[in-house]
Amino acid sequence: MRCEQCEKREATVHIKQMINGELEKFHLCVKCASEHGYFSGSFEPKLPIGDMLGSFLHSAMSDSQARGTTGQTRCPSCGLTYSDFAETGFMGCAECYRSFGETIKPVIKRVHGDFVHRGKCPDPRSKTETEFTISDLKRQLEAAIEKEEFERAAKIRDQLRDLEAGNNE
Amino acid sequence: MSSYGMSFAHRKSRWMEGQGPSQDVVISSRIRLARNLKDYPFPPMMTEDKAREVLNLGCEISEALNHEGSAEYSWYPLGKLDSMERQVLIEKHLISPQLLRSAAISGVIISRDEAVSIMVNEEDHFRIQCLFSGMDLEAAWNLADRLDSDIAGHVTYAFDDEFGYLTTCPTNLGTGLRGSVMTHLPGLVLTEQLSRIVSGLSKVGAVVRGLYGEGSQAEGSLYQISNHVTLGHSESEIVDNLNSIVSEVVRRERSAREALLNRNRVKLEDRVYRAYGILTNARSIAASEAIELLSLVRLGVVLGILTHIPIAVFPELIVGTRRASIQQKAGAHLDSDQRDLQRANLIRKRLLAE
Ligand SMILES: [Zn+2]
Ligand SMILES: [Zn+2]
Repeated sequence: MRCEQCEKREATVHIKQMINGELEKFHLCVKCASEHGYFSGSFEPKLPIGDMLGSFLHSAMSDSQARGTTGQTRCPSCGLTYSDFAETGFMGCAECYRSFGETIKPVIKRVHGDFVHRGKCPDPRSKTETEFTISDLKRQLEAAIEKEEFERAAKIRDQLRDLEAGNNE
Repeated sequence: MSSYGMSFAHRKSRWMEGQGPSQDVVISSRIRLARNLKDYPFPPMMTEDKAREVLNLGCEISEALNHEGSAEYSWYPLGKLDSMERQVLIEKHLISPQLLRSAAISGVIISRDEAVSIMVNEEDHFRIQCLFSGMDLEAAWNLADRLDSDIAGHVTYAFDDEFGYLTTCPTNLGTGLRGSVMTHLPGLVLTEQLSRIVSGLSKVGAVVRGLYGEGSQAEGSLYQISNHVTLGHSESEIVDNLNSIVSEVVRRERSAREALLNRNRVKLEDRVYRAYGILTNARSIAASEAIELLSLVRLGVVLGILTHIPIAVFPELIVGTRRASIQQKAGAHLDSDQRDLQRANLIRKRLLAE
């Protein structure tokens, strides 16, 4: 295949990108690709998880089709479809995280582990350390119940009770 | 007010000063925060009109960051910079190549000392970057944190209690924080320990890649080490963890250098002096050869084999002899052969001036 830009060299770089809300594909030679910012010299690490994300996304979709998300499920706010997201690995807007929430959660878990945000918040009403611990424990409790590890679940429940009691004092 | 007059190729960025802790191994430390606006589609889904509104916000933020009318921050819409000047910004690590994909609707805020660059309409609406010399992630994080809070006073960020800052790519969710430390690891390369260490680092949550070129054979033995996970840990935990990983790499690099000296001092001195000999005599040199030889000379300087060269010349020469910087400095378009001549001249004169 010839490069679409210079129409001279062999196209060896194949790019999928959302432009103006449309999924577009480019086939470029190395030289044209780097001139248009598709290559090397970036300070941003090329995360291996970025490459792996694509296959996770497709498998997450087939898992969740039973629950109603299909490739054509569309974010009502920005119009991105799930299959656009699976192709590019990019969300379309803040609302997408709700629109595709249940489907994408296992994917996020595989990238980051089973965690909730514990960092900075844009509001000054940021959570206290105890509140962070409580929300962490609640998730662990859910997970333990799901795996039917009831002994562990009971321990976590006690811990939670103590913390919440302490928090209300 | 922005100054479009002088080329960025003539100025040194803060990270190029050759100062800061552990500069024998660590060249620079960077913190990047990814942020998006709540009420705008993310850049891949934005219409051009929306993108221009975000671009205008970038310009307003630049002015707002200039407290009491100072001229600390300048706004550069990419459309106003020619392609050579954009390339210089990439070579100085002030913008990413990705920003060029939408040059007509993207821009960057740059601080006077070039320690701060805030890209607008890259993969995310805002990418706040702070870049310091040597091993100084804390300083970079403290500054990025302050700027981020400042900007949050002017806009509403896309944020979720569970996922944290909502980013275009889910790999940046949570803190949106990526720390990257640029290290010079010739000792580990020459003693053939690097690939083992790289695979070890991936197990403790770090990603390693060559600064120029991919794979384990990075040009000039320059490697950047970054955190992998962005969600579920606080910013200080991420910074502390990356700090301790890099400290361990620094320790191993130092002992590899020590081992090289002990094993065969004359052989190492010979390699350093040969590299110095070529760089101070060559009349034409390709970028890839130059960076390998500069790496050896830098090793010689750090180990006290060459005593008269300050370490700050290396970032200056590594950046200054890349494709666009070299042409902007010469003030002319140069073909590849002309660049090789110009590169040899620049390096020779700079090293002999010391
Ligand atoms: Zn081409
Ligand atoms: Zn959306």
